[in-house]
Amino acid sequence: MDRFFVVSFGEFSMNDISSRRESSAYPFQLFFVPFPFVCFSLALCTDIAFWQSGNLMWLNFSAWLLFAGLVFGGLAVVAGLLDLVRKRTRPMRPSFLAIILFLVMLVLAFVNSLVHAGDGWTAVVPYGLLLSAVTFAVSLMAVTASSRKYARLAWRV
Amino acid sequence: MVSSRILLSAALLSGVAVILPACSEQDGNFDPSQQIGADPVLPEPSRNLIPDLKVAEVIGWKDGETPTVPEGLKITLYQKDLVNPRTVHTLPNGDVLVVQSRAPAGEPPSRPKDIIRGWIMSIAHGETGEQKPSNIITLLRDSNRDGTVDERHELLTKLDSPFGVAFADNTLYVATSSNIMAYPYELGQNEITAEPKILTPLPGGPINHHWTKDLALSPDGTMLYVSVGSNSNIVENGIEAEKNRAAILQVDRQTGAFKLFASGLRNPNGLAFNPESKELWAVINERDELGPNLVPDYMTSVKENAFYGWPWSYYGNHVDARVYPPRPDMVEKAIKPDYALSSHVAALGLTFSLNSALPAPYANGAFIGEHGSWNRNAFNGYRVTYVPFENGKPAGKTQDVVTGFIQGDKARGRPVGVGIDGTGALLVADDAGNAVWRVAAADGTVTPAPVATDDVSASGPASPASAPASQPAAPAAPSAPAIQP
Repeated sequence: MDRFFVVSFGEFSMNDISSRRESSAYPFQLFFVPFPFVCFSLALCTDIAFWQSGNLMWLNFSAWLLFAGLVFGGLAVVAGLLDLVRKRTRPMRPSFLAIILFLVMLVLAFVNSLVHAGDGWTAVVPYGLLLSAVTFAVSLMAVTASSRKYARLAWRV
Repeated sequence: MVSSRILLSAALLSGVAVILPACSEQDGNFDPSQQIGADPVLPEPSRNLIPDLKVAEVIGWKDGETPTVPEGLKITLYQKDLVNPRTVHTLPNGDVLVVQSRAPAGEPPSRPKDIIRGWIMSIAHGETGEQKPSNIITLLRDSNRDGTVDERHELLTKLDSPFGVAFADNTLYVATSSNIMAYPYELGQNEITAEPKILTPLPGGPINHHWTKDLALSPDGTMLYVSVGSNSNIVENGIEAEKNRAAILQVDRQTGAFKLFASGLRNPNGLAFNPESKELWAVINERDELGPNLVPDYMTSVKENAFYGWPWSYYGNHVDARVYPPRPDMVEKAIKPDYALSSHVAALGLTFSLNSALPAPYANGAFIGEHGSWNRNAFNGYRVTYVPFENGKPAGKTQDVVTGFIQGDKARGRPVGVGIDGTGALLVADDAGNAVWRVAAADGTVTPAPVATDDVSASGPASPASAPASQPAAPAAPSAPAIQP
């Protein structure tokens, strides 16, 4: 243990300068951007599960997934704006199209969470399910758009 | 090129997805009075993205302010400084019990919506600040029968969200949010120290969405009727959570055994026996979030073994598409209630006026306490209304009796339970205003002797239907029999 600690400490010291430079170029959006993609795709899965089973647990799952995706999506937008004003992270910004699609996805998910706030079957079938599918499709487009720039690394998608 | 194609298809897709759910729009000119009476007008359900919502902030009553009553009546403050008074109940000696309670804690939020909903409801109840202890039953005594309270005693405290009470055979029955409790009690007692018994456990927490359990004693004195509201708006907590709920249970007073008396009643309250027909009546809060004009709350006689539709349908066979799987067999069984009160009025109290000392226009009918709406853009309810009766059946339109609870967009109070006090005047429990109001005949007419809320006239030897004599206050015999002309 002691030895391992010393070794890693030694390595850290050696790379001290470069790692500090790298961390100053770390985009904050990296923390938050993946969440909406994960949450909204899972919400489509739980919506399908509800449609097929009628088990209300899946409706609750979808509602929370949409909520979590929206909270982290909102944080991603704030972090992205911060990254935009930071000199070292600005070159890594996603394309304009990717940003627009990301925002469209959030708006759709917000509308979808209002639909999901209804009670019972009609909170999902048919419009909630439809919105979840469209949100998922838009999220795939956002991913496609981002892959044409360096930001695909920052977005980890 | 690629990017513009992606953008275009995304725009198209989201356009379709947003427009489709927001298709139905409600007309703002709907007259709620079309929904009062035996045949309410029922528009098509509308599902707005954000439910219509208008909640009145509670500001309370200033000194000297009172609700408004029509000519021929006089309103006075019967008692103030109560904490969430919900129901009033008159004992055979004329003492009035005021049940004060607050919703039980512990309903776990299942969805983000539940958290937002809880916050909105706390505004509507004026419960945003520091909370005084509630869950108390207070005894009010008007010894000289002049319409003012002479003594006030805290009979029971630290109860589990009580609502309904009934008295028979030196026993006070209290329906809390999860039990019917039986307390040994003799008339005239100012405190209860004896240990209670649990007569019957009722469907309780931790969800306990509609927690108010009202109570009525059968005219022969053998049975208790207890109302148990649904555990959700429209089974969003699952059908398992609705066992023995959205129903009125009949409980044997000796053994505590119960049976389902009537079901499909979403949130029944205000249980009362009609003094003429001896039929059980109740007011029912119907479902929300189908639009501002659905579904009308109603008053109905409660038929044994009848099914009134919740959750699968409303007003007979109007199917609610939110419930899955559909049950056409249950929809077919559902019967139509007797008398609609219009949508979202939140009727919580019911009492019959026969044998009271109120003037002729209110001689035979039902008073209904309407707590008031939240699921509408324009307020509805927030009043005590009167339905005239003939031969035990509603006969005619409602007349508003106690109004003025809403001032602008704020609520000074909200009426809940109603009852007839020991002098024959109407009492109104005002939970947001923390008061009980007394509405009496303007000429000061009182009944010759107290009439108990529990009408047990069918238990003993037949007594003639008593008409109130109109004479000013006479000294009361405290132990006068319940109904004597």
